[in-house]
Amino acid sequence: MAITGVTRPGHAQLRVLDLEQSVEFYKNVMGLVETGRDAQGRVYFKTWDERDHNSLVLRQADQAGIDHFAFKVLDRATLERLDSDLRAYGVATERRPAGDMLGTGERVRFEIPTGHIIELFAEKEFVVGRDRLVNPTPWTPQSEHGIAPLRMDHALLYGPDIDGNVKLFTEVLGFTMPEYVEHDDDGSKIAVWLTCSNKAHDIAFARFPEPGKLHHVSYLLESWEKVLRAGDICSMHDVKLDIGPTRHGITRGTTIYAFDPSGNRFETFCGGYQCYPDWEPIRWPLSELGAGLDYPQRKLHESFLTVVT
Amino acid sequence: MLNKHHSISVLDCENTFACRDGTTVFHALVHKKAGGMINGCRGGGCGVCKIEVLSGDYDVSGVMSRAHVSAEDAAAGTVLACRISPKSDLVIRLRGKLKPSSVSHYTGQPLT
Repeated sequence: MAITGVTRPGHAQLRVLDLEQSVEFYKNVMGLVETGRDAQGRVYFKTWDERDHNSLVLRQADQAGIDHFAFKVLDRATLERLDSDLRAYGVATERRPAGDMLGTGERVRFEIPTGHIIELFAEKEFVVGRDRLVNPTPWTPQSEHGIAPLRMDHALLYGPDIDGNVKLFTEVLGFTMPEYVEHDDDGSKIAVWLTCSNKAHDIAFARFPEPGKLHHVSYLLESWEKVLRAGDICSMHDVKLDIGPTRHGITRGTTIYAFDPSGNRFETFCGGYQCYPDWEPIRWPLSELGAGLDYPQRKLHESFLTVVT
Repeated sequence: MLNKHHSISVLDCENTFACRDGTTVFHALVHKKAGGMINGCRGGGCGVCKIEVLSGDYDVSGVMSRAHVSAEDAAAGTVLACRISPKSDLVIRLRGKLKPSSVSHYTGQPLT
């Protein structure tokens, strides 16, 4: 398919309790590249392979969690069209000017039914991903520093009205739903995986009583060996593990979940499958969620279902 | 010098837990993954391990999210177990998602 409209996740802005401790973690344990600090004190990062100025922004705050999650759209005309489509649908939107975030163009922001702030932008400063665009090397010293993921890949957010999110993301923003978990008895949706590309998910939502909660931000690795290496690096640095290494039934990714120093969960994963917009979604009854979450152990991990920031 | 152990008593729970100097109360409660125990974020962010310290002294080892512990709470002894370590024996009450029934599965042996 042609990737158009909303093209991919752009960045996550996280709240951290101790900025320098968090910067140390994301630079030297996660292995991200620091790309700048702004007048508000926010710190910007990208992975070694990403070509946009930033994919993670950290803000010192007295509560952990996520400020907003942003998507990059194809171009300025698409940004204007989506803003107008959102308004026509009944969503109030606001603008943030170019330069409000380092290296980032004008952003359109709005609240979704689960209480999260989502942003769209068309422009971000180009940064050479590896060492150069002509005759590049396949990897660099930076790709061997810390966990060193390829990209910030997706996020899972928890909140009450996930049905409203599905409607908004599929009807206005052009997403499709490759997989979902539904209640065995009444068929209501418990969790949904949505994509704007042919990845199994670009964002996911799970039903939760409190609005605006972060479950995790996910980072893509190249292989299962790299996932195991990420687990080793976490243990070496006393990073607090949640679950894994294991494989999800849902999306088929191999995975480890752990917590950053403020308790914001992150995932390091590999694999999954490529899907297409005409595919029928995969359905998981809630009674089989153990297999969906942890396929080898078929286990429901209580912390995974209840611990959020 | 040997590390000193302090005893953590949990209200409504039959067991007491040994907690070494410099170790967090949360670590003492969940060590060896007691049955049914929720493993929280252990970074002061998620609030799962909220407790009320009824008696005893402790050090605070890190920042706790204001979403779960207000300044008044903290001053009155309501804290996150992952962010304190005991300086004396403690008596605590579980206030978050931890339940006495789940910590009771743990045998309460000293950490090694």
